[in-house]
Amino acid sequence: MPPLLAAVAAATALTFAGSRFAAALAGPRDSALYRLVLYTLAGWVGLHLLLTALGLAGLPWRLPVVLAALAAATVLAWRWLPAPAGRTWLPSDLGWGEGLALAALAVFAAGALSAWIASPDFVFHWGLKGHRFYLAGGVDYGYLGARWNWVVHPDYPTLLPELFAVTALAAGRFDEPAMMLWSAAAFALLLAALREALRRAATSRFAAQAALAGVAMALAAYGIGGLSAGGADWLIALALAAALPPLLSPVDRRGAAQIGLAAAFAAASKVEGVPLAASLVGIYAARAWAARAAAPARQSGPDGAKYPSSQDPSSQDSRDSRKPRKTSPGIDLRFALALVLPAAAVTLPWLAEVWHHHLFLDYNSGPLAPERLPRVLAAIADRMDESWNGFGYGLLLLPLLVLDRRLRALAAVVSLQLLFYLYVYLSVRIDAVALVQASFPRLVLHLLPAVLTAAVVALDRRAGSRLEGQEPLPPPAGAGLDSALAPDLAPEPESDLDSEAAEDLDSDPPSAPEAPAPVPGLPSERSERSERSERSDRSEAAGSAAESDPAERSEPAPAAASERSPRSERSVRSEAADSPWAAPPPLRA
Amino acid sequence: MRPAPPPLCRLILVLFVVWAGIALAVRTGAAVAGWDSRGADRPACAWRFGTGPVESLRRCLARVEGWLPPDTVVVFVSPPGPCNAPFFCWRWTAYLLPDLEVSPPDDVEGRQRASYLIAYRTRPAPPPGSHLVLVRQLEGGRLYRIDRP
Repeated sequence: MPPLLAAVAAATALTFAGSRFAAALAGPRDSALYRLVLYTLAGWVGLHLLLTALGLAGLPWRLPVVLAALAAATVLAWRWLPAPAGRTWLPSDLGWGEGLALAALAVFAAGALSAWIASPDFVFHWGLKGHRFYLAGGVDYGYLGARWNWVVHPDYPTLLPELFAVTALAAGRFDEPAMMLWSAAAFALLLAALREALRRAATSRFAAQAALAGVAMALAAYGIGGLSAGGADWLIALALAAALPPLLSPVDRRGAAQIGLAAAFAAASKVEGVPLAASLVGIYAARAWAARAAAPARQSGPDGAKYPSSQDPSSQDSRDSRKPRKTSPGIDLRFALALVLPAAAVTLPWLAEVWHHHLFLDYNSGPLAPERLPRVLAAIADRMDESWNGFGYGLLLLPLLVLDRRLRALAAVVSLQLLFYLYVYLSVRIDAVALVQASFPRLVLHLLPAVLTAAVVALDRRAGSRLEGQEPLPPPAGAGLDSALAPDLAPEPESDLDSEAAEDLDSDPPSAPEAPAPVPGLPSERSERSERSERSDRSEAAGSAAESDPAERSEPAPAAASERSPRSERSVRSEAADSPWAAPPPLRA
Repeated sequence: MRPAPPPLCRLILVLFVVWAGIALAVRTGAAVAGWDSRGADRPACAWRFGTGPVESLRRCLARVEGWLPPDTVVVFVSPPGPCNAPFFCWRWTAYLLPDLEVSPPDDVEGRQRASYLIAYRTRPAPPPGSHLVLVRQLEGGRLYRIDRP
């Protein structure tokens, strides 16, 4: 098979395989493009786990073996996993910003396929490891453990070399342009994830188009000038971008699964992805805890069980009125598993192999040396904009994100990641300044796409608030990191947002609409419907639309549908009809 | 969907897009110019796929590739040069010979384990306690077997 075709076929097969996890990963609020991101990430992580399992079983990575294992895993997933969520349709009305973003992607892809903008790290370790693994039929720990091979970073996670190896298996040979296709794919998925974040944040159309175009062209310019194709830094940037939509949304189990997947993907991609995975999981868990802690008083149901007010069996949202809900603050087991298990499944075998084969390099870490701080900061300032055409200073916008409560979770993740980089520079046993010079511009790529996008969201929100004569919404009391507003609900300046988040935490993700089951006669201090209606009125006053792109949804979220007052629903529909983001009416699968 | 942002915000966003567009155009132009002059000589730390030095090295190693058994440990020696040339030349050689274990000449364990030596544009000194036997002439280099008494 021609190598480029083999790479496309491998990527398509992995996305298809990843789509078997749709029921756990994607829901009505996720657009078709974002689902594509999730399925692809799931496929790549699944491949990594599959190849790890083959290695542990002593089976070589040969094409028939990998294909058989992939087919078996897909069949098992088909048999045991729930049916995917309803179908959605790709957007058909691209705006000027999306057009520019696609053009930037095409320019980068052309450069990547020529291998002219290949990262030096592709030669020094990523590509070499991929080729070696292909020839050896697995992760070659003997090769990685050779004394002189410290330069290939033998202790790094192996997802990218595995993608290269599988591409070579499919093609029958190792071909550089085909390997570069993975970077172009990661860039495309990153843009799709950022588009979803802008949509989820209900950013104005102009700002969304400008953000997508600007970020895409800035990244393409860096990707070409900074020689980034074939490196793993695109994967880390993609992981953070893929985590952005759930970070901008209320905490729920599906969001936990999305964050868990992004964390696993980051941890499998590069060593810097391991702390990123930890901070993503930690921040999301903290948001969940805060949402639980801020949940309003529970009410008693007829069976004596306690219910959060928003899950009162009398409410029309209650999907199973006989089912008692957990009442103690904390996180239920399925939520915790969705959040933690993927990253743990990726990280633990990797750590075990690194430990078993003594691959961890001594120079990676040493005692903290704070006296280096001035030199390191000076070197960072010197290199902040290397290859970035001035956009590297975009990281200085981080404080702007903290001012917007909805972006605080992202700001916390990015800050922790920057702190980790600083820690590494202050503790490595080699010349820290030389390391900064060699690595910092690449590290900027990890964070800058999400930071620039979030900065546009913050700017647009503040400008929008001023335009309407309002100040930005204050954070809910005691909400802490739980800064998310429901994207498919109206913005809520009051603390009932937290009950919403708590409800989402408990509830099963809706994959298909269910008829609301009113249970009359149960005690309720306040009618859920009237509460929603008031909220919708507030949202209209705030001038925010609930769903920015309803045309991409296959089915309305049952909760959201029932939560909206008829008035707000009409308003959303009319805005959707007027919105240039809107696609033709969705067809149900 | 929010209403359109105020003029100042729009101006900031337009400047952002214009700036990014100019940056992309400049970087793309530089990449195209670099591609056009890829045949020129350049220091080893600036080698890329398709550049003249890399193609020279590839031609040299083509006569080694597939000739030695897989996993053979080979010492690679190249002349000194600016920009830490031996290091980068060694790394490119390791990339171009992925089925072999390519050691730099200054690694003690590599020298001890190696059974062959590739000399690229230089005359090598044999590892201590051994002598070199020429087994193959390469384009711009030589392949030696390391004989240890």
